[in-house]
Amino acid sequence: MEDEEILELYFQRQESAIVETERKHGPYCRSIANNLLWDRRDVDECVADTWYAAWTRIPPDRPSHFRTFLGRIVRNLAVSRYRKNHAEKRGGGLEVLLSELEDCLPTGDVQETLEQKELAQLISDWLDGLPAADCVLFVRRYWYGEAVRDLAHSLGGTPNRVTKKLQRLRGGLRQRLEKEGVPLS
Amino acid sequence: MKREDLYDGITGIREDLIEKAAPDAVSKKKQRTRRIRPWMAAAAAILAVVLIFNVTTGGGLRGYALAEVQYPKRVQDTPWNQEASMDEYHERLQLIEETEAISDQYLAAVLPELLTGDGENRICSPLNLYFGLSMLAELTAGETQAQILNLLDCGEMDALRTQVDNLWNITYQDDGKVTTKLANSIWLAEDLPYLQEVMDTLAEVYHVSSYQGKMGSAGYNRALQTWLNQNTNGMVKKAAGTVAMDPDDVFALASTLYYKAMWSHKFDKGATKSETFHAPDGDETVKMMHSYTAGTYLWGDHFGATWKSLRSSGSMILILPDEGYTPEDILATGEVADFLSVLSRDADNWENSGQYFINLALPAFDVSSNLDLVDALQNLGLEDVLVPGVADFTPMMPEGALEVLKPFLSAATQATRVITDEEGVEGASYVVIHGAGAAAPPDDEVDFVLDRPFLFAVTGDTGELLFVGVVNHP
Repeated sequence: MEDEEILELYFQRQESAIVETERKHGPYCRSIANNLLWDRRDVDECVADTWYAAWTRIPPDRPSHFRTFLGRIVRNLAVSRYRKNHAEKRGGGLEVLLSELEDCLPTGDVQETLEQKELAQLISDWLDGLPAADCVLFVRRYWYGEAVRDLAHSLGGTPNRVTKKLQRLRGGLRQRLEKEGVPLS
Repeated sequence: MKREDLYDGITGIREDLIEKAAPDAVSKKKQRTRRIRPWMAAAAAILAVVLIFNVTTGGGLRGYALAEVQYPKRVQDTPWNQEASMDEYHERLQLIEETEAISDQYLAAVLPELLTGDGENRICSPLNLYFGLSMLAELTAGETQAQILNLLDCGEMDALRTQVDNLWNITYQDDGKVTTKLANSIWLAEDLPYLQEVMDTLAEVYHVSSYQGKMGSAGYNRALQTWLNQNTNGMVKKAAGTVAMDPDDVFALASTLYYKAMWSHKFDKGATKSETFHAPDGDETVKMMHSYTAGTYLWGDHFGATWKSLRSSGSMILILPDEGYTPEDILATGEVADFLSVLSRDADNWENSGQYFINLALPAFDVSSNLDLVDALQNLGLEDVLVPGVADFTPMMPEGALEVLKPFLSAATQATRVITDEEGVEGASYVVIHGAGAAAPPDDEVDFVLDRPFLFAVTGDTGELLFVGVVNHP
């Protein structure tokens, strides 16, 4: 079933919308949740919560890219679950990702209250300036949460090389973020 | 800022970036035949290389008309084609991974030879010339071919064919948003006998269309000019109008490259002003475009550089020689070729770079050049192909015809035009930045004012150098 047809089911408030969503996009959402949470029960609950969130948001939302829309929900739910688990001393793939992202945190006099939307735009702009392969590598690691060894396997190269490449990319993002901390005149 | 904030920021990145990176691409790739994702571009460039082959005596041999090559249809990049478009993108990405970059040795030889001149604008396309020379290698044998392969830094024909096929497929884009069109053709004299095998290879690997007609006739010349204009979207009409085949010519090879893309971030038209450009032979008033953005500034021994991204494509790299140096000076030392080789692969590997706010002033320019390549090719080591009786065109035609005709390369020209404005680029180039020479800039901000002769290069999204030029008169 096409995404447009599935969305129409949401607008008609037919519960088959969720069945069709799970059939078409279940593996996609599950793989993201799995990459981030590393716990089958958490993954199942996170994906189920995603269908519920989609049901409550559509309508009024009508996403132009349904799959990405679901992926964002999964990511947000995963980080919420991570925070809860973290309080209970349970880790996961997200812990590794977040610790890697610490490399990107700017130092010095940087705006503390950058809006999420502004930050997303800034990161998108930075990604636009990267070679296509670097852009894909970064997004697959830090948006989809894919493991380094899997990235090395599917994109070519050794895990060591991928790790070094990611390290350089994080350094590049940090520099850009630091630069954005300097007020424009 | 906390690390979770950064995670949230990454969650919110643009949808097309997420879709392009979707990890299910590999499994989809296996289900489809080879196609290439339509690509969006922010610049446009045109180049034509014409190689004409003459004979020592006039000829009137019988020829054949060959079919025109059909270029692949690319999925149009529209909202209702997102999935198919992404599939093509991922297939292309895989092919990019498998494709070797054009050799540093080739770039180091070709760039100074073609771009060093007399104070006029000079532009070339290393990629397009690579295709033209590869076709020439396919038509030759023995020492003639060996000299061409040596210039291309390629050991054998099989490797070259794979390289050309891959380069053609990763470069060719026509999705309605970004255009990078490569076209090749061969123009045979009427009654010329030729060997079918090599024509088949030209069609299959090099996407060559074949034509036959009466050399030197007005109609046949017009047909070649029309072909050049059609495949360059009329951008080099003036130069194409001068292309003519001589009655004694045996065949001509023509190769074109057309590229058009938009800037990722357009220049603000309101900020464009009339300003002075210090050309080699006196000051000129130019339309200077301005932008102020965070970006990467790089520097070498005698130049500073930055780049400006082209939307869903590559970038324009701008290279500004230090005060007291000309573009020719830094071309002669080899540092430009070295710099471009590194940048086209991975900018991270250039040690002298940093993130700065860049106050860029770039003249809107429309530059063109029409280069005679014969002397350049001779200087680059292609000697045999220029000498009647020595040039070995064994794969091209039967032995008897070779003995009578003794074909050789009698003319080779390259016409290129590159246009930039606030919207994007026609042609390709690097943006040059006013730099501080061998040391990093002293503070966070760099003035990149291209108000004197500079170099530019345009790269496709695969990093290949589409166009490189010296701008003396914007």
